[in-house]
Amino acid sequence: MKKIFKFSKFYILTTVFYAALLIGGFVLIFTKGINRGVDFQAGLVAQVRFAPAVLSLSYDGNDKVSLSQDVKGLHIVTTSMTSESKTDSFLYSEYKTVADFLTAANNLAGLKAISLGQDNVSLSSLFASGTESTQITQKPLKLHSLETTSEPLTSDSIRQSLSSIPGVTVQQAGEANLRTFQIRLADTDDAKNTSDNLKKVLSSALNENYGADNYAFLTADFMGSQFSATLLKQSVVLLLASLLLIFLYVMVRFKWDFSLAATAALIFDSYTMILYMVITRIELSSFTVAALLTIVGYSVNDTVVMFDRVRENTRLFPDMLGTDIIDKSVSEVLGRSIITSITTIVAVLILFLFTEGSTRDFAEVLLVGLISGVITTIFLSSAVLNWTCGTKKGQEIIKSQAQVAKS
Amino acid sequence: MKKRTRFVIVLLVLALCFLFLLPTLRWYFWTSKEDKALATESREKIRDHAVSMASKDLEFLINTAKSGSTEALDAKRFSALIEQARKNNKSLKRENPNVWTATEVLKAFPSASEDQARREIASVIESFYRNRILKIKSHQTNAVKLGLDLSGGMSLIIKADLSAIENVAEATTEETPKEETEATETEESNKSDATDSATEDTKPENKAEKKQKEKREVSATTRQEAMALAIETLRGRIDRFGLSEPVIRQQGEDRIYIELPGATDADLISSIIMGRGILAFHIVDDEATNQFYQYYNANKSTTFDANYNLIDPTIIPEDTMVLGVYYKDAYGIDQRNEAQPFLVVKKQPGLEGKYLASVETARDNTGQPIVEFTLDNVGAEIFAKLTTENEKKRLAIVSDTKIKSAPNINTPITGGRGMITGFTAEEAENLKAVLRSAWLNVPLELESQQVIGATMGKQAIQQGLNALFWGLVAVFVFMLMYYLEAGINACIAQILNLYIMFSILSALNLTLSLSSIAGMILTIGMAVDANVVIFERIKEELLLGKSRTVAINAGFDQAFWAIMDSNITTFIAAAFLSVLGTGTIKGFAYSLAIGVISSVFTALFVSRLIFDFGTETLKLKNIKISWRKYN
Repeated sequence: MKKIFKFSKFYILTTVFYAALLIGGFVLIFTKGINRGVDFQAGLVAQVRFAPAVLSLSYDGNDKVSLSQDVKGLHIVTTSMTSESKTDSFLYSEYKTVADFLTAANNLAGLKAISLGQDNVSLSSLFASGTESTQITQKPLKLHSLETTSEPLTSDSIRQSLSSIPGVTVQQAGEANLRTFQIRLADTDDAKNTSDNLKKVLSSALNENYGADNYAFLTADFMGSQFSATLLKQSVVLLLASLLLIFLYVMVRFKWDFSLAATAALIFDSYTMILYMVITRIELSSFTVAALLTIVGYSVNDTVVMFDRVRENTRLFPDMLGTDIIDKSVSEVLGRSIITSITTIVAVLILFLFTEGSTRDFAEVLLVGLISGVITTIFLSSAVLNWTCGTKKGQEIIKSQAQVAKS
Repeated sequence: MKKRTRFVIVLLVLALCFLFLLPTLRWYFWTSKEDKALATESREKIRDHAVSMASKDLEFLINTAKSGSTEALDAKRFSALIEQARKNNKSLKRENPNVWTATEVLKAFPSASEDQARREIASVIESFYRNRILKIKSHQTNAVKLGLDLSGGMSLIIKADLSAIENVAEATTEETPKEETEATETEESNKSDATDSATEDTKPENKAEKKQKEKREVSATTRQEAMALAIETLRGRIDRFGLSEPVIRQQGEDRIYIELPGATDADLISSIIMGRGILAFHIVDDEATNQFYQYYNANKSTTFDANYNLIDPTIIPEDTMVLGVYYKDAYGIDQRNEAQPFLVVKKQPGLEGKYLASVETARDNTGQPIVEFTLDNVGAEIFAKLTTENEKKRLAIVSDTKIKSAPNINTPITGGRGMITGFTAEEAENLKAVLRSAWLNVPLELESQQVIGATMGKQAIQQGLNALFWGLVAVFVFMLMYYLEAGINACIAQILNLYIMFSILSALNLTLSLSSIAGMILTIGMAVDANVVIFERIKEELLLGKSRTVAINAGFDQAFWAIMDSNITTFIAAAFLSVLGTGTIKGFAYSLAIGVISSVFTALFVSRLIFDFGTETLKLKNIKISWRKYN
């Protein structure tokens, strides 16, 4: 038979701990504040990579020519209304440097490729701005490369050169040698087409300090003030609504006090995740809200399994005291709870290790929620259940149970 | 259920899933880049491509025949034509030649005139090219779409200012002019059956009632109409760029969500959201139109460039422009009029749509459907001058650079009331909707915009696939180490799970984004829980000394509710998530929800079948599920 752990000894400690967490958390949230991501705060967030342009492509003719790039090489796709369409591929294995590419590309009808500096950079290092069309027209399409620069760039120096813009924040994104920074501009007024305006403000400041050809936008996200407010409201409503729905579901399967215990665990799981985000300054974005909701849906599983065992044991041991039944049940499902959580934690850990940006934040917050989920199931939900069932005997608990077909 | 029946069910599910995946495989792996580029163009452009390719092939055919070449034609390029030639020969009771040369093919199309034969051949080649591209396009439509974070592209949220229509609608009802006595008429000449229906008085009754009705509708139906119109306007503008599979959908009451995969051009946005849709009346320049067609018929393949700009702009007068003529097909989609695809109109609009006061459909005294419209006082003055100066000319009704109708001006319209006749009741309703768009058009405003560069997308795909692969490996290693042979069962279940998830994504035409890959990885971690629950229960039963069969049956039966509970609660969370705003989160929520369903299937059905297979077919007596030794 499995060993029975006396979790009941920790009930008072658990209660004190979570009460302290609740109060301490409030203080923390109000003093440090939640770091709102672009979804929840109006403004422009752009990722800018500081790398000089090395190649310029332009096209003059009647066809539609566009550039595509994959792991193997550069491809120039020509779509024609009047003849067969074609793809000219320049594989990195064959065309190693920009110089190799230049001569070949200039042989294509209408296409003009010009080197804008060193042409010995490798072709595979080229990247285009993420916010411009990949269609090649008379207006030159510029390709940048990180290979020609090595001097370090700090977020402080960028912040200084952009200091003329009110409400600007700069953060390094990724490794230092990628020279990529996340620049955020707050939406200061509600003038028309703010997206365009904010981007223009940023571009002109960057042009002035770094030169128009020496940086490229990788992403540019804009969020209007009204929409971010709607999204925030929606998120809060959804979180509360899913908590309520799960409360009702557990109530149908068990009883209101079981439901209360399960929901309390969920509330503290989400609360812990939010506190973790406040401390580590992870942004509150749709992604992290998704993590909160996922934990609400997932973390209740362990609790339900534990409750199932409690109900089974009240039938098997009608004379046992509630506290002992809970101890016994938690001990019996302990191994199972830990293993199911481990499999999920392993999967999320891999996600955390292999991705970056918002997906990584998502995985990180999810990990915290998963670990918290195990702890709250074992200690918190059993403690809350103990308030109402602790002094009753098994047969009394079972009497008040909702009638659900026992499989 | 018998084991064999269950096995057949599993096989059927897997086969069905493969069918779902087929278009995705075809589009992403079996289609060349240039075919993809062509297939992502708008239907109009595909048609034009086919037309110009056909005219080229026809020239080639005729020239080759003239040169007396005895070489066989390219069997692939002319396959459709040769096929048709065979059929023709059969119906003509002629023998098929051994070698299909250009001359032989031409002979198989004996028509009254050379011109007609040319047309017949051209249409065969044309439909060959068109069908080929449309087939590829249909693969794309049914394939899993890559989300913006993977393909790169742009997502926009546009707000329609619905309060504007309230103001305008009220204003127009108030401004509705007093009774006009003059009876006027314009006549649709696009249609050959246009009759010279008598000029009728314009039924002044029920004016007051109409006013009432209009005001009431502003709150509900009109708002919906305005949104539908705004979406249609945006779709029309986006289609012109020939972007691959844009997503346009209404979000909430007054927002429109747009996803443009592959498009990252900031300039594009401004042209998409260039304000409200524009309705205007332009005078058709018939002389220039004739000139244009003379040129176009001779140079079909070199008239326009890929963006529908005239390659040689001097073929029409400087103050005019070429616009396409469109009608609504049975599905409500704009189609270009094949008989007369283009008209040359004056650049300067004769009258702007904002002067329209009311539009109604009715029947004239012969029962023909008509569209009646009234203009406000300023508009009536402009229109009177316009129609007097351009009597007997045609008046193009242009909505957002598409000509929707081009009726004749039979008599000058001086009283601010006109009517258009000569079409079916349905066409009349369509035209009414077009004219009404004059005041249903609402200002559009960009609310949120996300641009993801293609390079970032490539990086994201790599990250996502790596995470998916290693996530799977990590979970497998854990399961195999902890549950030994039974772990194999769980691994098979997870692979099937992933396969089913992908194919359901494909079947439901959902978008695959980095967040949905994240959802899949998470689902793998969660789905394996069901196996854990079952295995742990089996272990407990084995501890009590039960045999393999009994322990497995008990394990599955006892674990049923626990598995249902956990999946139902996760499903609840996923359902709520799918409501939450942005596209990325929706992808996550959908894959979570799909994963929940497929994991119930694999855990309870497939997994059990594998165990039963071991018990009954392989006659296994024991089960290796733990490092501990049982019995």
